[in-house]
Parts: sequence; structure tokens; C-alpha cells
Amino acid sequence: MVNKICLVIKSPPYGSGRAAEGLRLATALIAMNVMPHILFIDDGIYFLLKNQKPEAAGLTSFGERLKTLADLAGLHAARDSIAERELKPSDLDENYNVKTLSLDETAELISQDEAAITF
Amino acid sequence: MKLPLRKHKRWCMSVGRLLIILFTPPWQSENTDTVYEFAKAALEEGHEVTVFCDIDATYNLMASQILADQTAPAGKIAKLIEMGARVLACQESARLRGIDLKKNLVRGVVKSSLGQLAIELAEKHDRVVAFG
Repeated sequence: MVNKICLVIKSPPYGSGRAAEGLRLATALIAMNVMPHILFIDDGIYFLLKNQKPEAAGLTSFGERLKTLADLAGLHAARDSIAERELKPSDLDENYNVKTLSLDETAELISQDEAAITF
Repeated sequence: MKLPLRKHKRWCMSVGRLLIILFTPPWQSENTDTVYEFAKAALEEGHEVTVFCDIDATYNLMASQILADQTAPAGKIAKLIEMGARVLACQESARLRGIDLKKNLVRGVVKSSLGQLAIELAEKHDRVVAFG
């Protein structure tokens, strides 16, 4: 059994269905009482920005799903990935209560898990 | 008693349950070939192998794909099934891509879902490796 799982979201929210699949898997795991670590790195950081209006372009918003996942499992983001995109932690949506991590803390988070799956 | 290395290695190993998740379609990377070789090696060592094809990886499971040299990923998938692997297709991913789940899946592929993947992860396997 693999009960400690880290879902690493590194793809951007729009333009590919890849990362959305990771969020769906997170939901399915939580439904089975398996609480995954959910970690946003690289372009996955864009999921967490505030004031997104994807509906304006006919796209589905991830806001409600992210809020639910944040409440149930918690969301983590790599500080380096935020800085590399010239963003600040204050640019992230405060409703998600994202915990930002240094590189060492990110490695420590992943090392606690038995499996890491990237999306 | 000192066992010969090869026999000793086999004696120490227990049967593992390996879950391989494939995300990528054929031909755009070597992932499908790598998964085939990896799964084949694990099966030959006596391990149980499940391959879950998600998102664009469902294109690997189309029975109708044939290249000019008459090879296709479907042939390798069929070989893995023949060797005892369970191959699962995310049916929602396949449906979104217009893949006919009734007529165009490699024989033996099991229709599955992300919910099933969660079960496979949490309850049925010892190790997971994702490609993509």
C-alpha cells in the first residue's frame, strides 16, 4: 500500500489538462481517506494567483476545487518557483492558505512520502 | 551456506506489486518504450505489474494505430497483457479524445477511472512509478 503520496503540480492551469488531472486525483485520494501532500512548483504556481477570471475566456475555474483541497489537505508552494516568475507570496490567493516552502523544506516534504507523482 | 549471487538475489526478493502511471502519448517521447521495457523486466522477475494510462497516454491503447513499419504501441501493450500485466485506461481521458472504448481498445485493456487509480495507489500496490 502507498499511503503517503505527494502530488506535484508543475504544469500551468490553462492550456493543458495535465495539472487539472492532478487535482482530480487529489480529490479521489481524499475520498479514500488518503491525505496527499499537494505541492505547486514551476508553472503550477499560476494556479494559486488571486483575481483569476478564466470564465471570461470560457475556461473552467479551479477556485472552488482549490479552496476545498486547501481546507482538506492543505496546499504548498515552492518559494523559488514564485520568485522565478517575479511574483510574491502576497500575489497568491489568501483563501488557499498556501504554505510557501524553501528548497530544503520542499525536499523534506517530498522525502516524507512514499510516492511523488508529477502533473 | 553461501548462495551463488544470482540465486541469493532471487531468494531475498519478494514479489512486489508495481503500479506504473503513463501520461504521454506514443511517438512524442520514449516513455511508452521505456514503460514497456520496465514492465516487461518486472514481470520477468515475477512481480505483479499494473499500467494505468491517463490523459494523452490513452492514445497508446488504440488498437487501430499502425506505423509504416507495421509496429505500433498497441502491439507492446498487447504483449504486456499477454505476459500478465493489468493495463487500465482512464475512460474519461479516452472519451474526451474521441477514442471508441468499445471498438478501438487493445484486447484485454480494462476501462478504469481516476477513482480507481486512487484505489490502486492506496490499497493495491507497493511501489509507484510515473512516466510523463
